[in-house]
Amino acid sequence: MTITIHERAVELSAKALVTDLSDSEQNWLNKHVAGCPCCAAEIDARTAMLHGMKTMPILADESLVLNTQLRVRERCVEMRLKETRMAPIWISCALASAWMLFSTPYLWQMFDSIGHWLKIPDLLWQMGFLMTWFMPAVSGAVVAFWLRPKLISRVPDAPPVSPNLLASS
Amino acid sequence: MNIAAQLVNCDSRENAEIARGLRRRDPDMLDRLIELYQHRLLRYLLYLTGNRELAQDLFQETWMRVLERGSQYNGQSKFDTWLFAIARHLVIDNSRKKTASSLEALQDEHDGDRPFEVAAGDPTPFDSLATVENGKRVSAALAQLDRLHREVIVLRFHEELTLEEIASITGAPLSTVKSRLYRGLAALKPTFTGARA
Repeated sequence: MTITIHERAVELSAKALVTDLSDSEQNWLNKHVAGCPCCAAEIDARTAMLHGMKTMPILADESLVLNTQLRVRERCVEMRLKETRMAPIWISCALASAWMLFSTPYLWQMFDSIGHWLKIPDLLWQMGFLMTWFMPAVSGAVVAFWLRPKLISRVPDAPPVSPNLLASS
Repeated sequence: MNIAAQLVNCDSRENAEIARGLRRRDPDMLDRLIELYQHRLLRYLLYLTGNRELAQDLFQETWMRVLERGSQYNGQSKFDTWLFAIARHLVIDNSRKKTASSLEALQDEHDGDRPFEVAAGDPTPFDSLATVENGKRVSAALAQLDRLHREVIVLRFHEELTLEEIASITGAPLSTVKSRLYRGLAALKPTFTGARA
């Protein structure tokens, strides 16, 4: 299938909208369009149409924007609240983990010594060690769980919403 | 330093500031961003969904997602590119809660449908919004394009994004973006040649 010079001109003009033309292509196109009113009109019409896209008044309603801003602010508060609630839990976990790491060798040594001194079976003192080892983490979780309802009631009020937001809602 | 370099620096400073604000979840900055991008985002969603009500819902969801995922924006890319990518994912998520996982799949499913057709009596989103004659003609032409071609045409010629930015938003290779643009322009040809006649 062969394409006419007019089709080539239109194709090249489309290409020019997407990417850069080579110098030779640009020169050929300029020369052709200068001598061909039909192609020039077609290219102008397309340019006008694409330019027309910008004149289309597709606008967001003011209420949509204000409602979105309100929702985003509310969600901000929710997220901060959640972070506040989670803070003691994370702190407890971190402290419990640090304690575990620090105390494990000493604790093991202590249980070993006591176990041998009392002449109790190894399995028994090792079980005791494990229970003690897990105790900080379990205690931390219990404390965090216990604190949770109190923190919820102590969370500060939402930040003030600007007057224009309130007026619109 | 030339003007282009100054503009790039200005943009990157602005993007870095937005990234910091999003990490802090600064509500005032989010308010400003919502106002700044309100029309562009709604327009993009409207072109993608073809339904104003849905576009408005997704508009709100997009900003909620921006708030929740704000820490993922690193400020190295342009904010609008990131914003449009989020919006696009939400459109896909919303439409494809059923089966497909991409706009391409969505397109396949709607082959033969008129995506902008709404309940009888209601004006199409484009009809109700386009008030000037030229705008109406362009709206009609765009409504006839399939979603993939319409999307790239809008991003390129309305939002004036670069090919790389469009590729980043759509997650498609550059060559695919170009090819969609060529096809979209070709599909628009009867409209502008008709208007000329």
